[in-house]
Amino acid sequence: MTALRVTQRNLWVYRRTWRGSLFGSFLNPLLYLGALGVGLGAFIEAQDTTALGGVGYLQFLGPGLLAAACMQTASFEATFPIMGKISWRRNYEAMLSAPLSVRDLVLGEMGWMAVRLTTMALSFMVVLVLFGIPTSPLAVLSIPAAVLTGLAFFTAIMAFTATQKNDSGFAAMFRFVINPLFLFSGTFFPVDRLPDAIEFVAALTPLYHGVGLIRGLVLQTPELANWPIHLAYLVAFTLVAARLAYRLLHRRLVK
Amino acid sequence: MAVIVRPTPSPAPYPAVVGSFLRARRLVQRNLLVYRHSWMVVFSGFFEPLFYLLGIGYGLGTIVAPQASINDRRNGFCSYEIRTM
Repeated sequence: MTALRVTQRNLWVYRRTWRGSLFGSFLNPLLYLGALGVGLGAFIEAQDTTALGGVGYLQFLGPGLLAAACMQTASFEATFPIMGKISWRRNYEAMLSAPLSVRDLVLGEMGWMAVRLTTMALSFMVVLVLFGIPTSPLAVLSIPAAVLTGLAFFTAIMAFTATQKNDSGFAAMFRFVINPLFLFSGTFFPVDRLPDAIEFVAALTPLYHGVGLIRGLVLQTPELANWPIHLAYLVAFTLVAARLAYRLLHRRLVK
Repeated sequence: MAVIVRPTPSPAPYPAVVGSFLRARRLVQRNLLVYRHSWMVVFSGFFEPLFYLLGIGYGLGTIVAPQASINDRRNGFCSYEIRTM
């Protein structure tokens, strides 16, 4: 239960800084859905939408963006803020002087990330409902699915951050990992439009499974039949990544 | 708090604003020196439009393209995107 103290600490900090993230989590989906979903969607809907599985482009894009937004927020939160606590402000060093273990740090940070992702997914869902996108009551379940998608990235990138001396590797990581995932994991178009080799690689990434799960739940498409695969992949990925983050942080922080 | 002692400037043969520009140059130089360590930002910047073109231009283009006519009937969505990026 000591891990909860780490979560609580982050909540106290957030009570002073929440304003900055409020607009991002509400305005960002609004702008993307407006520009791409409505604007570009009009071009696509003029044609046939069988490539999208029979749903409109706005409906197709909305749940994909929810997954992608969770990935981006969680990835950011696992880089600079964690690096700050490891080496710039040394919060972890202070925490480890208290009766907290490295395991508490990892679990506590994950707990806090889950809280953040939940509020984010909720506000995103409000936007999706405003656009009239969800067609199924199962859409409610896409909120925990979005949290899980975010946690998969949060833990994996926290493990990466634990290996970094400073922040210079983050720019490359975002450009070469996060951004390609954002573009090629089925957020903007179905991955079967890609060459087979890239489609295969895309199917191995967590965002692909997050998008598949969330889109299936929000729209109740035939894709929903694959939910056990998506869910098992995301859970397994998060557990392995959390374990790795624990080991790398332990090596970094405990002499 | 460090106390910065400034020597009284001797009158320069040019207007004060020129001297300001000459000194501001050093700040540009300093930032350039720091930036040289973050070459990755510049290098990876090359890939950003590449990924966008491949992802949105090619991938989404396969959905839009069949009768893409954003502005231009001869060129597809991808070339529209290049011109507007």
